[in-house]
Amino acid sequence: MRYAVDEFDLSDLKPWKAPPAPRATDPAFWENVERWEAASWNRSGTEKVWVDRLHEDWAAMVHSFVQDRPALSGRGRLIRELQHAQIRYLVIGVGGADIHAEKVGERFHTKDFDLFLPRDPANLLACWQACERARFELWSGREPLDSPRDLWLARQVVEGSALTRAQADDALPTDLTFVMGRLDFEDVWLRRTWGYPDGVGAELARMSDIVESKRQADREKDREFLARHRAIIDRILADEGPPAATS
Amino acid sequence: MRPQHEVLRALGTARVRHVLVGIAGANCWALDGSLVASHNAHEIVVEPTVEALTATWLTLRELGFTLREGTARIPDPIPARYAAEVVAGLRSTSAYRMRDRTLVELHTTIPGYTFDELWREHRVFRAGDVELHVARLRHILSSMHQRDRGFDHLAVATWSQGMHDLFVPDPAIALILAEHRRRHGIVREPAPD
Repeated sequence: MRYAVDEFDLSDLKPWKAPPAPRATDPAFWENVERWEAASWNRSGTEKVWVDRLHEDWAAMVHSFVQDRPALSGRGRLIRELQHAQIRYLVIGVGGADIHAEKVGERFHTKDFDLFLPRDPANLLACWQACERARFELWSGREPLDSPRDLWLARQVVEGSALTRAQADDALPTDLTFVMGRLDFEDVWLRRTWGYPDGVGAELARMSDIVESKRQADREKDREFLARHRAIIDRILADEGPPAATS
Repeated sequence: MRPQHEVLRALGTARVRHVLVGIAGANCWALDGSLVASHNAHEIVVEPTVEALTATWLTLRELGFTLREGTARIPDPIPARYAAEVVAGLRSTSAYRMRDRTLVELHTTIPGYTFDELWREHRVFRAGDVELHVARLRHILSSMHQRDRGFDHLAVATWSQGMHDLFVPDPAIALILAEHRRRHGIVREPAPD
């Protein structure tokens, strides 16, 4: 028996670039809004207490100074597992920028968390396993990622540059991506720095690379982010200085 | 209890008709944390009547909030006819509580929509036993889009991208998963919308 998938060659799909998200002046934007409103997770009576719980990590900034050993957050747990398993990853995106901003006493308001991974199936598989040990569930799109999560699946995901996502009740969803604008992982890795979200050391892309990737992505939300936070970003970049010599 | 829920529960107990709008309202519509924005301001549209507005102010004062209109503090006791003037002018006031740095912006209308329009189509979510009266996402985003504030533009653009990413998924992952399921004989129902 042949399946439709057999007729496809993934290489035909690469590089896949999503069409730009519609602007608020576009009728497609309002169609998406109506579809979103009708979605099952927005039925009347739906429990939304988790939304405000996410804000507790802001309050935790204060508590962490007075507690001897605060419980590790979901994000901290994940990073610790990644470090123990010696996974190569870099925190990028607004989540990475937020860690940089903490160093100058600022915070960004959007809080998604992205990890940039090398195009290495073994590293991706080890990363998935670390996520599971940190009690995160793996998703692709709106579905849980199928088990078994083997090297074949990891290789296909790498070849297709597909996105997977790690989710836990007590943490922001974490995207596992192979794309950071047009930047190469090895270049960004050599220039990397470190940050301490939730008291755990994490491999962090330099702010200049995060800003460059946002410029390259050139989505409306990236343009708005760079424009709105320009003063803070300039301060971080000035503080960061040029990358250290790697030779 | 979180400050937002404390305020909304108190307004519910005082029988004040209100709807949550702005970032706090949009957050309630999120699927997961990627669309939740951090904020310490809660924008609430209160029914524009003297009784509702006065009850709201008194409720917030009891919770320890200081009331202001612009930079001017609203006197205690509240002057006679003051609420009527705010209602007639469809003006906004605010309430701030120092101990947890919580700001509540009290509107009687928002750009593009009256209270009645918001109330007619609002949705009720829950946070434990607290009812969250939240304006339609369409109304919230449309109102943000009409405002000339950088933060609102960023929020609208973030929502646009988030909805788009979910509704227009990468075709590669669908093919990969289909092949993976075929190899392992996995049968799965399509994801619900």
